[in-house]
Amino acid sequence: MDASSGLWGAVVAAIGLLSLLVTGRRGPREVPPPAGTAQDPTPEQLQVSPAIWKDMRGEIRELRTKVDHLTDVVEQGSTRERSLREHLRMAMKVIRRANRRLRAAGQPEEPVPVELIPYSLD
Amino acid sequence: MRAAVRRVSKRLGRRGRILLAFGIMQVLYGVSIVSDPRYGIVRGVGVLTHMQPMPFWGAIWIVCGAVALAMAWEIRSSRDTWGYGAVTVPMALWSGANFVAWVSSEYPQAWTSVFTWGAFVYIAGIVNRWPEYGRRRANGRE
Repeated sequence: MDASSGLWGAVVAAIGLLSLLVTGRRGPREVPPPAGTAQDPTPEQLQVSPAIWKDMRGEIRELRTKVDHLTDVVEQGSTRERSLREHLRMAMKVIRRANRRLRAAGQPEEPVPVELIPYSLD
Repeated sequence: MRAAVRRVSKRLGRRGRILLAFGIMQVLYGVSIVSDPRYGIVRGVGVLTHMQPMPFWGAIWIVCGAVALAMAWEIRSSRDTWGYGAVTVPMALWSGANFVAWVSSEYPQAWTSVFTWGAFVYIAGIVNRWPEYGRRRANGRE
């Protein structure tokens, strides 16, 4: 066995890639069926048929996909909200600066919109 | 401060915390390989350096570690699994390369690295199968 052979290097590199694919595709284990399903029959316990359990797991998978999608939507919304808040703070700063200049010039100040007051940094 | 740590911890979850640790380890290890690799490391991965120079493999460690660091914050375990996939790549490469060096007698002491890195791959694979307990929140708040 010649360790400097490119073939062995290629084999090792393939193992690395394989580990990525195998691990990446295998996510967290499905939650095991609760005790009392048909696979684990215990007297005096409610039994659930495998078909019902399979159907439930399908539903759970579907719900997980929906939750992932909603998480995406919420994160996008949060990012947008942060950006809008930042813009409002900037608007407040601009108005305050303009009013300071108006005051200095001896002219009446522009009224600050009530909605902007919470975003004042002062 | 304690509340902030708790919030970050809640955000990461147990999967994210372990992925973060793997990420930090791999980035630092990659930097050490790129800057000044130890003799034993170079000797153990001869089969890889025959293909590409050491800085290339160091960059692989850093990139995979960076993917793990990024994925640690991912609250969807259907996606952070690719972070676990990324962390196994360089460790599997190292274990495999040291295995070749060991069985070819080019570096008989390489067996320690075979099992060390192999165990890390195994641990990452096991943790990747863990479901997240509780719920990870985008802002870490209850």
